[in-house]
Amino acid sequence: MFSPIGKRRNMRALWIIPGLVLVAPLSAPELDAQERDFLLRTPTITLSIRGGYTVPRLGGGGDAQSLWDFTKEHLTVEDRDLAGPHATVEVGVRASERLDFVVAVGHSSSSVLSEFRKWVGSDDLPINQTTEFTTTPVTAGIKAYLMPRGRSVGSYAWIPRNFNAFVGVAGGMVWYRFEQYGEFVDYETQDIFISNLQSREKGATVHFFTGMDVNINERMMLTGEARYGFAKGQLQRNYHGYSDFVGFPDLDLSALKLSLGVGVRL
Amino acid sequence: MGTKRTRIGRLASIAAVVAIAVHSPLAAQESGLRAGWQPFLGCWRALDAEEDEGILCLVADGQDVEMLTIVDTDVQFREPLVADGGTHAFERDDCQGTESARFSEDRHRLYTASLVTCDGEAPRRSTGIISMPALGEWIDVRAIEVNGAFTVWSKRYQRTSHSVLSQLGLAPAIAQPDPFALRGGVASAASMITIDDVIDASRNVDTDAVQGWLAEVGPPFVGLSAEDLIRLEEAGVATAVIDVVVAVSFPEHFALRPEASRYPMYYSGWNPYYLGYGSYRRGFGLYPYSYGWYPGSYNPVPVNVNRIPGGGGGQAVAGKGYRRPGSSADPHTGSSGGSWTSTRTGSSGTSTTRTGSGGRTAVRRGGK
Repeated sequence: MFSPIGKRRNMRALWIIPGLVLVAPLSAPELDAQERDFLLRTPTITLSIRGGYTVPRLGGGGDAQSLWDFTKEHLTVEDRDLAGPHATVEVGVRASERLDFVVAVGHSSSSVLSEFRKWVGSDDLPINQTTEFTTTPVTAGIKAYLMPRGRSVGSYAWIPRNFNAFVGVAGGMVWYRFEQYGEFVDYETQDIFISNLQSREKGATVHFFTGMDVNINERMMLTGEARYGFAKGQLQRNYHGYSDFVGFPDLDLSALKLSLGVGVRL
Repeated sequence: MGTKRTRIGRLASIAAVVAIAVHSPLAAQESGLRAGWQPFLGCWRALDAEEDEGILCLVADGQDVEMLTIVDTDVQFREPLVADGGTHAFERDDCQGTESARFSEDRHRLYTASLVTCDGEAPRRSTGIISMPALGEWIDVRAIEVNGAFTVWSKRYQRTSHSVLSQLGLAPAIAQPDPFALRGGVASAASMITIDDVIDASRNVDTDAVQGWLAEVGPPFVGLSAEDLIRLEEAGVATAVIDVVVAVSFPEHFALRPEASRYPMYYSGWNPYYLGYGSYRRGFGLYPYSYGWYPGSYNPVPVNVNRIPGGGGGQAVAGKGYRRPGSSADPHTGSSGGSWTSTRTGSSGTSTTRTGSGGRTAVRRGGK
C-alpha cells in the first residue's frame, strides 16, 4: 500500500510554487544538509486551503414561493448564475490514526447582472439589477480516513501515505447575504425605481463530505473534497419586523461544494 | 450649507417675496391684517373630512383672523385666532387655560402654544406649527403633553371654494383672498424648509412638535452636509430632531413610523383634543385650547426613526413582485392609509424624487 515517495519527486516540481508559500516558513527550521521524504514525528495538525465552486440547491419553498423561484421568475437569473467560487480554510487536529477533529471557515459568492424578464423601460432599455449571494459557513466536525494516514518507523520517523480517501460530517452556522440592487418595477404602478434590497442572516448547517488527499511531499498534500451542506436561513427582519422580502419562506442555503487545494502537515 | 437645498425654492420664492414686500404691506395696511395671514384667507376642507362635516373658513378680523366652521350655509362656530404672540387667557365650559400664537420672522410658520385644564383631568400642554407645505394646502402639527408624555398629531387642509362666504355676505368685505395673498401662498409653498427654519422652530416649540412637523412636511434636505448637522447641534437642536432631518433626507436608509404604544387610538377619526369618545365635531378643534366644530380628524404623526434593512427601501413580495418605497402597503412609509401617507406620497411626489429613476416606467416586452 505504501509506495516510495522518491519516485514521484519529479511531480513535486508541479507544486513547488504554491508549495513554497506554505512550506518555506514551516520547513525552514528543519532544513538540514540531507533531504528526506518523511517526517521526524507524527503530525498532529493539518492545515488546508482549498478553492472551488459552489452549486447552491436553490430549493423551493413548498406552498409559498421561495425567494430563489421569485428571483428566477422575475429576473433573467438562472440556477447556474447563482453558482460561484468559494474558498475554505480548514484546520484538522489529529484525534487518532484515522480521525481528525476539523474546524473550517469558508466563503462563497456569486454575482449576476440581470434584467426583468417581462418588462422593459418605456425607453425600450432593459431594467437592470444585480443579485449577489454570499455564504460564510463556520463548522466543526469529524473527518475519518479510510486508511491509516501514515506509518511510523522506529521511534521518530513517520512516512505519510501517498493517497488516502476520507469522509466526514460537520455542523455549525452559516451566515449569508442576499442582496439585489439596481432598477426594479413596482408591480402595482409599473414605475421603475432604484433600490437595494438586502437580507443578512444566519442559519444552522450540517454537511457531509468526502475527498482524497494525495501527497505532494512528506509535509504537503493535494486535497480534493466534495461536500453537500444542508442549511436554511431566515430572511432578515429589523426590530419592528420589517423585511425587504415579504412572504417568503426561509432561504434555502443548501449547496454542493467541490474544491481542490493544498494541505500541510504540522 | 442648509441653504444649498433651498436655492431653487428661494429663487422661486424671491419673486413672490419681492411682490409681497412691495404689495402685501400695502394690502395689509389697507386691511390692517397682520402679515402672514394673507395666504390663509379663504375656505379650507380637512383632507379626510366628510362632505357633511363642512368647511373651515378664515376671514380677516382686524389684525388677525376669525375661523368659521360652516356646514352648508350655516356658520356653526366662530372664534378668533390671534397671532400677536401674547398669552391670552380663556375659560369655556369646564375648561380654562391660556393660548398664544405668533408667526415666525419669515411668516412661513405660525407657532402655537396652549395650556388647558379641564375639571377632573390632567392639564394638557401643547405646542405646534402651522405651515403651508404646498400651494393651496396648510397643515397643523401639534405635540400634546399630558402627564409628561407627548403625542404628535396633524391635520391637513386643502383650499376649497369660498363661494359660501359670498352667500353669507362675508366674501366681498373680508374673505376674498388678495391676489398677493395667493402669491404669498406660493412663496410659502415654494420655500423649502431650511436648516435655519429647523433651528428657529426648535427655539419656539417642543422637540416633538418639530419632529412631527418635519416628518409631515419635510422634503429631503438636499445636499445636507456635516456643516449643516454641526450647525444644528451647536444651535442646541435636539438630537431627535436632527435624526428626523437625517431620516427625511435619506429615506432609502430610514423610515419614519409611529410608535404603536404611543397611539393606541390609531385610526382616522380620533381627535386628540376631544374629551372622550363620540363625535369629534364637539372636540377641541383647530385650536386645541378652544372648543370648535372643525371638520376632519387629527392623524398621528410618525416620529420614530428606524433604520431600514438593506438600504434602498422597497420590497420583494412573494407571489407578486417588487414594490417601490412609499407604495400603499409599504410599511416604510406607513400602511395606515391615513391622510399622511396618501398625501405625502400622492400630492408631493416625494417618493418619486427620492427613489425614482427619472420618472421611467415599465412596459411589457413586445408590447404584450
